[in-house]
Formats: sequence, structure tokens, C-alpha cells
Amino acid sequence: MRSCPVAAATAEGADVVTIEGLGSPETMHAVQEAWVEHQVAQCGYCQSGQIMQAASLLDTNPEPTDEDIDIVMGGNLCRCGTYPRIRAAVKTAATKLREA
Amino acid sequence: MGRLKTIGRRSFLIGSATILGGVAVGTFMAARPHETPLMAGLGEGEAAFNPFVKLTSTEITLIVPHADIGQGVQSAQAALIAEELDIEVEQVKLTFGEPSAAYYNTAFAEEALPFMSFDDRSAVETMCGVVGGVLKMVGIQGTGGSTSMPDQYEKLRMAGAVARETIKAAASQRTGVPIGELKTANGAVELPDGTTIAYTDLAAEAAEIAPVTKVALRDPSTWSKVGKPMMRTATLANSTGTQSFGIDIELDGLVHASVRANPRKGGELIYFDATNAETMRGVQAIVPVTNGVAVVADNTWRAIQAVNAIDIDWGQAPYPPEMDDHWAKVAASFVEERLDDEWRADGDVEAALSDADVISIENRAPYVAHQPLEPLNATVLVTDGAVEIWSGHQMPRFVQQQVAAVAGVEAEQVKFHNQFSGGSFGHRLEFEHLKQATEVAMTMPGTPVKLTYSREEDFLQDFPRQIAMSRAQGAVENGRVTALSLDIAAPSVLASQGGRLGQSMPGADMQIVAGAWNMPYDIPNLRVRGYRVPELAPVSSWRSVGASHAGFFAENTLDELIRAAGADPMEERLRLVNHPVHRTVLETVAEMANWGENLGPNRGRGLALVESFGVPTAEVIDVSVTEAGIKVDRVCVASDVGKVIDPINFENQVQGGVVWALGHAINSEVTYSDGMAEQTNYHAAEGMRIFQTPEIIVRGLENAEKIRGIGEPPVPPAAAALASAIFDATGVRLREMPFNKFMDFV
Repeated sequence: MRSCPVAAATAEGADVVTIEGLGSPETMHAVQEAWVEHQVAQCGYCQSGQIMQAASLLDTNPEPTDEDIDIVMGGNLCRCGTYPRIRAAVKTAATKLREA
Repeated sequence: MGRLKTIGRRSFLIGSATILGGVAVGTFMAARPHETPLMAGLGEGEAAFNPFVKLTSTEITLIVPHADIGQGVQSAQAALIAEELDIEVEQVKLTFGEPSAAYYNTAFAEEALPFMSFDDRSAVETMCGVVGGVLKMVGIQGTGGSTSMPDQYEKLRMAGAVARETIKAAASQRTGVPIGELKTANGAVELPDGTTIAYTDLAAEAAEIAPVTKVALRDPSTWSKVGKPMMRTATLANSTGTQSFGIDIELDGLVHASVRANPRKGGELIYFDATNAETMRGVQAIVPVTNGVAVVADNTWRAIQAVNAIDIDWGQAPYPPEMDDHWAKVAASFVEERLDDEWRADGDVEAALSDADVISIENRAPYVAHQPLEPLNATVLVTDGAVEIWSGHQMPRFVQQQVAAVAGVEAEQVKFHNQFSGGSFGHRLEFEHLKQATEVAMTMPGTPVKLTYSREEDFLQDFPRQIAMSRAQGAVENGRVTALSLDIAAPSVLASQGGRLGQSMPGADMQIVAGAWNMPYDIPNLRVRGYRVPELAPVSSWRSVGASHAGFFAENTLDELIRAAGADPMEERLRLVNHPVHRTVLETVAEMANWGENLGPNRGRGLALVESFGVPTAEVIDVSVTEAGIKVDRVCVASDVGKVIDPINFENQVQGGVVWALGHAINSEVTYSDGMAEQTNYHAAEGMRIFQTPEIIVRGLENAEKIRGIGEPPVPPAAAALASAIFDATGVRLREMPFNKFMDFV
């Protein structure tokens, strides 16, 4: 979920994974690897949120269609306009996760 | 070359000084280099060969002169140095240039002068040399106008070559091997016998010899980095949540502040009552600032909560409170006394229109917000007689000057640490947040203060893109466009920005007509005039500046005439285009899009070509008419920048520019009511989201004589190409942005 509209209290007792827990520069998650391969980021400010949203999408839907990607990623704004690369990276990450 | 004659009476606002076209500065003054700022910080055995390369026994530091606001300039500029220095970018430390005249930007000159990209280069270079010399002398350091590559393309390679040859000289001195027999690779000098000496091992000796400045730049055919696909230096950090932005600064003892200033920008604070805020959790201080009030707390959230609890009475705005009055002022400016300049006068447009069926066309462009995702913030530490500031900003030396003026110290006493920015698009050209943070920090010397705007404050305080209107009269005959008179009225964005810096701008403002006056077409009778609207709401440079409205006006008007003539939009532009570089851009995009194919029912295709920042960019847009509204299917872009530095980032910048342009053209505007912006968060001004984003196919061309930047040129053609496509699909001509006021979009 997008942390900005969630009150911390509602997460009480839940396991919370943030970008720091997903992977590290040394041991990246498949989604992060795909983000590097496609060089998605421009300014990079929104990308932690984009990556977490993508990881969440692929967790529940390993083979998302373009429409699935548009719906689930539709809540995350990127002012630099990296959306074409986000789409491509989500697909690459899906392939990586399926083959893993 | 009629345009050259008029330069003497124009003026150019470029940064800290208004530079008069008539001022000629001796070449001696202009040629005198600025002191390398790195010298002051050098320790024993450390070398700085120029303002861009520093060598110590443990590391090599490359100094990137420009600000990285998401455009990836750090990577590209480091590669320019590394190309000649024979080192991998991964082997060096990268830092941003501190405020220094040594990092002057001479490429601003060309954007300030009224030349077309294909004007006689010798004459252009002469004039740009004069103005560029002035810029060098006063040391304008800035990022904007898509100048980062043209400014540094040669300078940084030269800096790398000077460093390399000096290091080689040091190696020769140590080993006795003649310089000519030494090679360099991977940050090391190679001797003929195969042994290598790391550059860092030679630092102490290199520091003792004068830099070898007589060097030749390598032939581009030998390059291994520039022009090849690169991995952007920040990609790994940006993909793993480890990148640090200005908002992430942590310092010992840091306190957090937020502010509310009069949303009727320029109006006063009449009264405030902070009784409620004072007792809120975490609140440490209430600090009045210029035209507003700030709260200092133990974290940003509590500071924002508390500042929002303050009861405030705001004074009136110095501009009309309601939007209708803004539009009325623009509409009333098409009169002789508001004529800023006539920028183009080919043929005899009056005569041509007098004996024709005149087609009258009016277009409008609204105020639009910048709204990068990282809200404005600044961290300031005031100590005895000195100020330190951390923030992401496009104009480092102005930061120094503006903060110094608030703090009452000399500019040299302000140490500015430029940060990676979470986007800018022109937003980080302003100084209010820096000045407010300084005002707060001055009340608590020794304690660093991070001031962060709430999203709502960021929207309310944004200086948006200028409002603008065009009125045109045109004529067509036998399937051809024969005459066009295009008048454009807008407030001067440069005068507005300059005014906030205390600068006046006495001359005409080319940004009112940028992308229109330089239409690359030989229409037999063509006139373009700019009309200056007296300042309304204060405005600021917004990605592609004047061309964002004027490029749209020019191409949307021309497209309407072409369609009225019954001509094909591509064929008629190809007939009219007057330069081979621009022609190739059109032909390329036609081939990419398969222009001329039958699209089938409920589809449409449109085209626009705009030259901005010296870069001709053509876009073909395909749309479908669906039950949910217009769907943008695909955008093909061809753009000629002379030299593509990194094809991957080039594609990313073009795609981002198209998304930026279309998102705002379809969805976004800023309107004023009661003197305040009515849009205060992304739900009301969101630009584009992923589900509206089309496929975007990009091709970079390298036929132009001179290298240019790609940050802004993809923006101006997009709105006009979309309007052209929508007309093709529906028969409805959209003449005002945002388009969603008139039509549904998917």
C-alpha cells in the first residue's frame, strides 16, 4: 500500500516491508534489478514507491496484463514521466520472478 | 541577417545581470579565467588541474558544474571528463560545483539571442561570443534552458585532457620515460614495459607542476563513452531507496520547520494568532517570516500540523483576485502600446490578408503548476557571521547572494551544498523557501533548521507557467497556406523572475514568442508579433518556458490553416519547411509513424514541428475515439540535437518530456479565486498518470551543426500534435488547454 495515505496506527501488528527491506544495492529484489536494467529513474524521487507497488502487484499477480499494470500502478505519480519504462520494467520483473 | 541589426537595442536577462546588447566587453576581460575554487580546499600533495578535476593520493574527484534535477546531467558531464581523462566513471567521486564564477554558463547566450538554429554561424558565433564573454565575466552559474550539454561539451573534455596530460607529465618526470611513450587507461599511466602507475600515486608530483594546457581534443570517432549507452550514476541508488535528496538531510541537533506565507503572492500578513499552535505536541517555536509565519517542531509532520492551526488574516494580492480578470487583461493586450516587438516579417502579410478570405483563430494556454514530487525544502545553519545551506537548486550563486542578503553577511560567507533534486521543471529557480529557512535559522544560531513545505503550501506558493493567448489571421489558396499573422500576448516570465531578484528588464522578451517567431517555414507572408501583458500573478520558467505556449499556438494555428486548405499536414509542412535539418526531422518522423497509411474508423493522426532551444522536434500522435473518451495511442518523436550523448537517457528525457507536455495539455491548469490558486494538491492538478500514457517511440538525429540539450525541446510540439490528431479523428479543433475542459479522455 502507499504509505502516504495510511495512518501508522492502522499498521499495528502488521509486517511492514519498505524499499529498505525489499533488497539492497548488493542483493537486489527482482523488481529492483529490472528497474536498473531499464534505467527507469530520472530524478528517482517517486521510484521507491513505484518499486514497492510493482513488487506488491507481482506478489498477487505474477503475469499482469498492460491493463492490470495501469490499474495497480495508476495511483503512483511520476512527474518526470518514466511510465513507459515502468511498464517495461514490471514485465521484465515478472519474467525474472517466474523464472526464479 | 535582418535580425542582427536590431540586437543593439535589445536586452537579455540572464541571471544576476541584465546584459545590454550594446555593451561590448574587451576580449581580455572576457578571456580572463576565474580562479579555480578547488584551490582553496587543497591539502598537501593534492592537485586541482582546473575547476573540474581534483586528484589526491586516495581518490579522483570530478566536479559536475550543473545541478542534477532528474535530467541525469551528473552522468553525462562526468562521462565528458572521463572520456579524455581515461578513467571509468565508477572509479571517481562525483560532486556538484560549489557557487563559483568558475562554473559560468556561456550557453545561456544563444538562448537569449534572437537567432534561428540555422542562421549564419559566423555571425551568430560573433554575437554569442560577445554575450557569452559577458556571461563568463560575471560568472553566471545556472542550470536551465537545456544548456548543460552545449555549455560543457567542450569545456569538460578539455578539463579531462588537461588533467590527463599533466598526470602524464608527472609520470614522465618520475620515470624518465618521454611523455609521448606513455599511455593512459582506467585511471592509470601505462609505461612501455607494461607497468602501470595509478593516477592517485602521482597526485603529489602532479600538484607540483603547472597544468599542461596545450592539449588537443580527441576525434569523436575514438570515443568509448560519449555517444554510447551509459548506466546513469544514480540509477542504483534510485532503484534501492538509497538516494539522498535535499529533504533527506540529517544533521546533529536538526529541528524541523514548516511555513505558511500569504497565498495571495506578494500580499502581506496582516495578523496571526498562534495560540492553538503553541501548545501542540512537539512545537518548539513560532517564528514570523516575511509575509508569513513558520513553526519549528521536533518533526516535519508536527510542524505542518501546527502551522496549519495558526489563525491568519492575509492581505490582498497585487494582482486581480479572479481568473476572468486575468483573461480579460490578456485579451486587452493586443494593442499598439503593448506591442513588445515584431519578431518576424516575411512578405507583406497585410496585403496578402486584405484580398483573401481571412481565417481568424484564437488559442489559449492557462497557468500551470510545476509541482515536482519533492516539495520545496532547505536546511540552514547560521553560525557566527556565516551561513551553511543544503538544498537542491538550479542557480547556486544566486542562492548564495539571496541567502547572504537575508542573513546580513557577505556572499562568500554562505556555503551552499547543492543536493540531488526530486524534480524541478523550473520550480527550483525560486528563492522564497531558502529565504524563509534562513529567517527561521537566524532566530536559533548554532541549530540547523530544515524547513519543508507541505504539499498544499508548495502548490499555493508556486510561481506557475505564464498565462497566454494568441490571435491569428491566415489565408489559404489552392491547397496551400499563403499568409499568417500571428500575435501572441503573455506576461514576461523573465521580467517576473528578474523582478523577484531585484532586476529590471528593459528590452523585449523573446520568450513571449519562443517557438513561434522562429517557425522553420517559408510561408510567403508571415508575421509574428509579441504583446506584453502587464504582470498578473507572478510567473516562472516552466519546462520549455515560452515555447510551451507559443510553440503550441504557432503549430495549432498552422495546422488549422493547413486542414482548412485541404492539404495533408505532413506534405504541406514538408513543402513549407526551409532548412534541411528540419526537413530531415519531418521526413524521419513520417517514416517512423508510417504517415499516410489508412488508420481505419474512429482514429486520428496529428503532427507538429517546433524548434525550441535550437532543437527541431517533430511529433506524430495517434489517437482513438473510445466510449470512455479520447485515447492517446502512440507518439513518434524525431529530434535533432547535433550529438546524442547517451542514447538511453536521451530516450528517457524525450519520453518524459512528452508525458509532461501531454499530461498538462490534457489535464492541468492553475486558476485563481480570491487571489489564491484553487488547485492545492495533485487530485486537482495531476499531470499524466500511467493509464493515460501512450507508447512513445524516439529517434535522435545528429545532423545539426551544434550540440544542444534535450530536456525541454520535446515539450512544445506535443499539445499541438495532439490537437491535430483529435481534429483528424473528430473534426473538433481544440484551441485551449487543458483539453479535458472540452472533451473526455480515457
